[in-house]
Amino acid sequence: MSAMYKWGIVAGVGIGIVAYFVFVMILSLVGA
Amino acid sequence: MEEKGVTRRDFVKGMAVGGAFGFIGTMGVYSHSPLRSAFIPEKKPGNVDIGECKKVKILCVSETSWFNNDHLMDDIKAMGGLLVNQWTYPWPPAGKPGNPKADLHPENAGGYSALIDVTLLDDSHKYILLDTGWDYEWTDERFKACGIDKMLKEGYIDFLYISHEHFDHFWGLPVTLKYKPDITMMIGGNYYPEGMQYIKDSGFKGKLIVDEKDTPKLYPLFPGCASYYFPIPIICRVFGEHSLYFNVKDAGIVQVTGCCHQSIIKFADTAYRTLKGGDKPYGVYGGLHISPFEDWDPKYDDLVRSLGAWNFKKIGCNHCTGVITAKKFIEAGYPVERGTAKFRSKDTAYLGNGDTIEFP
Repeated sequence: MSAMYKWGIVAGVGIGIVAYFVFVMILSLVGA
Repeated sequence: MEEKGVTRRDFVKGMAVGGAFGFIGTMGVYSHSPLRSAFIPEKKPGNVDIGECKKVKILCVSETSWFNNDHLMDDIKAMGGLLVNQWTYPWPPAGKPGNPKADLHPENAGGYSALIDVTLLDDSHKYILLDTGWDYEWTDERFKACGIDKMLKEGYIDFLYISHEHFDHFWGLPVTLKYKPDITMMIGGNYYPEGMQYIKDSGFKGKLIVDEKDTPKLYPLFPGCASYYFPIPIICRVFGEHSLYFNVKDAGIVQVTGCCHQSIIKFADTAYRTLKGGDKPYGVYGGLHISPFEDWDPKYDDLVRSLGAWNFKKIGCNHCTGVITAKKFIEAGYPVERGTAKFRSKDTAYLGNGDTIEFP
């Protein structure tokens, strides 16, 4: 596993967390 | 150059894997944290005071709306299914005019009706006739067996409360009107023209009280009693059902329904959100519409489980609750009042024809 792959996972987790909260916010805005 | 390409590709691959873990992991953490309810409106108990009554006693006049499930379902299938207009079904008496397949299985028609005896705080009584059956002969036979005919003639019954427009609750109207044509009658707000015409054709001469169309609304009737209208679509092209709430002193809310098409959970939840004391459900009576045709689906288990959360102290179910459901309630340890399985009721698992239940 290369160092860049590991850094990719770290960045991906961060993006995933942010993406989930954006998703929840959109759902609440559309009233789903 | 080639090494850089591989490095970038590794980073993107790692980001895809990490993104999926991040998104799904956050979903899991979020749904187990107090934050999960942050966007759900808080459920507040209601504050409408409908007063109190002392006691509610219910006599099951008839819960056997039909006697053979297979015949009923065959008739419904033959006419095109459960969404077809009920007035075109091949059943007596109202389905007959203009119907080429008139009167299939006339022997299968029964009906649903119950007498509600409410003792007020001053020990006076109010009598409500909940629904008026289906088949004329069967309804009349049950009325005579339970003394409803005499009570109607002598004017003891304060009003006829038709839960909804379905054939097995409403089409026996001429039998009630035979004894008391000027009785006060309460119906839901979305009856179809055929239903309104049937009321006229049955010889109704009393006061007709109709709920507001398309509007979920509470109607206080007398101290300790209120009606609630649920404008919901129902099978056989019927719309809307109303049901009764009683606030029994030192006990809690007793919920009485014909078929409970609004679902027992919605019925109990509406009491909670609307009525003062709605957070203290005490009892329920009526058809709870879980397995009316005695079939079973795993999703019905959820309903059985959900009902437990309301912690009813007395459950008087029958009719479209289904015997299977009543047995599931008993297995789950719910306080189900047993019946005697007399007068063509099939099982002692629930209240049958001629049985009574009292709250408290």
